[in-house]
Amino acid sequence: MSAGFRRAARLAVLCWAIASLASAVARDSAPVVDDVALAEQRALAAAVDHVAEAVVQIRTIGGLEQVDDTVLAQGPTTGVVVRSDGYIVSSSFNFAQRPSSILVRLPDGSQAPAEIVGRDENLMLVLLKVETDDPLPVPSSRPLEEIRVGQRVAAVGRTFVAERVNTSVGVVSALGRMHGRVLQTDAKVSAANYGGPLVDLSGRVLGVLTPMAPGMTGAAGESSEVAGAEYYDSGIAFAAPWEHVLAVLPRWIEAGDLQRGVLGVGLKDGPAHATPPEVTSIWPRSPAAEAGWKQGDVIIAVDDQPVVSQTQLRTAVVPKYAGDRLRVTLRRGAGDQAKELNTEITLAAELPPFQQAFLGVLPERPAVADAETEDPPAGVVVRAVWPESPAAAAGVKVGDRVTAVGETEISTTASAVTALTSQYAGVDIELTVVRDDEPLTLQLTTEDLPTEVLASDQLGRQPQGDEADANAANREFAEVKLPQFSQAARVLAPAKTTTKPGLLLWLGTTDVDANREFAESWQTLMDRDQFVLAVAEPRDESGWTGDDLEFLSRMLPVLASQYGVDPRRAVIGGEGKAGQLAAALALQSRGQLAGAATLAAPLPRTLTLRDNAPGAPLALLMIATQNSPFSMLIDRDAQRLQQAGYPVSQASRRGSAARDGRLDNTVQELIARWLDGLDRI
Amino acid sequence: MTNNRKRHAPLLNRCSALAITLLLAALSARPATGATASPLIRDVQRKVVKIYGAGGLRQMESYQSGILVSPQGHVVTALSYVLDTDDVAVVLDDGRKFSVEFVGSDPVLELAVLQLQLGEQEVDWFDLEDAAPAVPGEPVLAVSNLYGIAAGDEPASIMQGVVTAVAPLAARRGAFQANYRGEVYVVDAHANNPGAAGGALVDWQGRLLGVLGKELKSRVTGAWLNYAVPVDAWAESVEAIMAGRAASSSSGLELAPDEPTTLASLGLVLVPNLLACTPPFVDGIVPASPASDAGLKPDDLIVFVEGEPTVSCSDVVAALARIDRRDGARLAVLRDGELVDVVVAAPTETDETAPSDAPADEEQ
Repeated sequence: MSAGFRRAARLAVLCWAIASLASAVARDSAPVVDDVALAEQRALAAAVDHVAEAVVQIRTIGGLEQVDDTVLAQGPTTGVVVRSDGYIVSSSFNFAQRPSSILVRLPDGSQAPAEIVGRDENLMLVLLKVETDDPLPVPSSRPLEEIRVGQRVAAVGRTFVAERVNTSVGVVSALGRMHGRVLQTDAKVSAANYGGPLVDLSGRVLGVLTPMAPGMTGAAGESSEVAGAEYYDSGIAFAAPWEHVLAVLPRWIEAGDLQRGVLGVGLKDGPAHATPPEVTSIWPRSPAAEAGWKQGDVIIAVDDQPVVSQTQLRTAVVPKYAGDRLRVTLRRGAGDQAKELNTEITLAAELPPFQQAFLGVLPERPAVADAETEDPPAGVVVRAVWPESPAAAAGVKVGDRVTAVGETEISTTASAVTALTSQYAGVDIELTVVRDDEPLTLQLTTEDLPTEVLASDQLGRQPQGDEADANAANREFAEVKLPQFSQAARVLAPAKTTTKPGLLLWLGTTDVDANREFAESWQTLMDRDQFVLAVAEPRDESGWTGDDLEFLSRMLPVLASQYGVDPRRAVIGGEGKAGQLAAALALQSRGQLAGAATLAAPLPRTLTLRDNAPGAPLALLMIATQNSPFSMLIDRDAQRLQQAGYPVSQASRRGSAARDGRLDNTVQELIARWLDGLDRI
Repeated sequence: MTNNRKRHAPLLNRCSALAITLLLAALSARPATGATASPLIRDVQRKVVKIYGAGGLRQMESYQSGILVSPQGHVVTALSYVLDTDDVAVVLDDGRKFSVEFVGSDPVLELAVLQLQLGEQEVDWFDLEDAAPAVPGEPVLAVSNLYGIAAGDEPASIMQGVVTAVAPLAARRGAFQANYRGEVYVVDAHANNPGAAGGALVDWQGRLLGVLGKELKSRVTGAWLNYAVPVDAWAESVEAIMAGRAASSSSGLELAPDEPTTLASLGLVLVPNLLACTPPFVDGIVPASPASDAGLKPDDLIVFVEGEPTVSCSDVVAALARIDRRDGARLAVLRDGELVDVVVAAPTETDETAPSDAPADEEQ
């Protein structure tokens, strides 16, 4: 069918062109101008007429009205039939609003509901499927190697009227744009023809029109469906090669989404076209890590094509999809030592989330008073060693002073944390400690942050004064209020603090007495584990809602500065709905909190989970009630969180233990110990 | 379709032999370059004028374009604030400057007719009788003083392009609302920029196709629209104005039926219309109403009304309003992924006696 179509198209075009020339010549009354250009444009019009039946109109119903800053038009959009059994290709732009329904007007004028089969993230295309009994007309393809810069083309859409296509005319203005992915044309391209074909003088399809942002690959926003739409009608427009679409079609149909592929390496800084692709960092468990790449390797060839600059590397890799296998040649070492290595690498769709490296050291907390009087020796003193941790395996002992992690010198706990954020779990690292005034070098392999909650005696108590118990009875509640908020938080602090305390911000009730009673029940634990307990009230009697988030996030810094809180042990907690809100706040406001403890609270359904961040890692303690219907949800959420790189400690309690606003002792004990261990490194 | 082409192929082949001969003759007879275009373009430029009037504030240029349509110096131009002054001046391509008389205007087409105070002088002009219709894909020239580039004796700027589509003017609502709803020539040149309104769209034989309109954004694509209103749509009205009669244009204006169909008259309740494009889902059906008789169901998504696509609740309301309720209504709905045609009958006699919008009217 396709061959016949093509032959007929060529013939028709030839005839039309010649006929129109003939008529132009025959007309002698009016001044006739520029015969060749005119004939060429007429020929193009005929070519367009011919491809028209394979160009369908698409209508979407529902969805967003605005994506990023782009207000989406409500008009119909365009697609091209790619396979006669009902597969249609269009531009991702046309579906940016995530429509609830899609209708395609078939060549015979009938309407058919369509489903999205998948997206192509590299080419910004969408594949649709309609049910059809009659085979749909598929246009013929112009081979990629026959596409020439400067050749006349028409951009075709079917937007303004359903029965007729709209055409704009131009030339092919470049090949291999956007790192080898697309063609460029100067024809006017906009929402009037995104998703439509770019055709040549004989009606053969060169590509599918789609907006793309002419910027750096991988830059923020580049993958947005509306990126590049601001260049509409500007003379800069792109088309995804039809040949490529045809080649990838079987895989596309099977896979659904075709995702971008990533290597998982950082490259040397510098102008991309002039800097060799030297690997400066390798993301853990990434394709590059699995292929055995090492820091300092220089990529010299991809699939046997030499690569000299980072631009060339991108051009070789960017058009590939996740799951594609590449043969990459590396040069390792310098001078005479240099050798070439052939590696096979399979591109990944995404990199595993960042997981902070863990040594297994619980650092001694610097005394608040000492910090002013005398300078303690540099380094972090080990208060306890986490059982079965890398540090335990390497023989780190209580009282050792850690002075360097790898090549980074350590002066305080904070600097140790900073040193570790640049390290991944699973790397070999050298730990320098001072033991009995003797420096000592220990080798260890970092692990992921642990999820178990240690027993009290494993956490390494710091010596405390005797007065603690004496003052416990008559300690006073402080009320912390914020301007503009009617709510307050009641705060109880440990009787005596020699070091920076932790903070547990608990989401209580509107019943002030119940909150007091709740807080008082924690007194022993807060003295032992040195944390401040703040019980906040919701604004409304009906309980905690999203409207309270602002109050809570403003309350946190106030409490932190008022009580000199150790930011690595500042957590939020709550039960049920309050627990959901606590988790939401912790997950959304990066850096304010070190953790969230939730009771019988699955994550809010509307929450978009982001991967744990290297800068401000967050830990979670999720306590489920046995035999509760929520348990399963909580288990699933814990798994999701774990996959996103968060250390999640899980526990369960028997029955609902919150009586009289109090928590079961064992639950309190668990939360306190979990909190106490959060300053682990 | 393929068969059709095959049948004609031998004939066309014979034609092509002849055509090639003619083509060769043509190519040898004249230089096939743009040079041949210039007499034609000069000819067109003589008929496009520069108009100066009120404005001058930011984004309100004090100039626009116009086209000469009679030997008496009648100029068709866009009806705009530029004309809101007694000091409108028209400058021809050769630098001749004329004061003008405001002859009349057509508020629907948003066109005005001016007349140059020619005295004894003569001008070139487009004969509206000679005007041609254009088809999609046709190469065209837009001739106007866009951006006010031309001044004094400089002729108007030309831009080349093709007719992208012949389609109804669907302008975005708001600041750039257009009264005209009829068909326009959409072109792929950036023809409609400041100062272009009132300019000419011509074919490559110099025949007038249409008048360039004011700047508008398309409701369909969300993009700036480049378009001209076809001569056919306004020739009659302009001739009436020139003859001293009132504008006769009603083209593109929709006449509302006497008794427009409403949701209530059908017994149809849509989901609350909260957004500009809330999908038109059926929320409820009034019992014993035309909608319930037709088998419409809650959760049906109304995608066509009388063959007209409906994307939002507002679209449905607007499309129904164009149907007289005595005619019934043909709808198409999406139900469980299937497209279902539904014919809603006209309300019965009892309903018709109470054509108010009270759906609860269920007298037994």
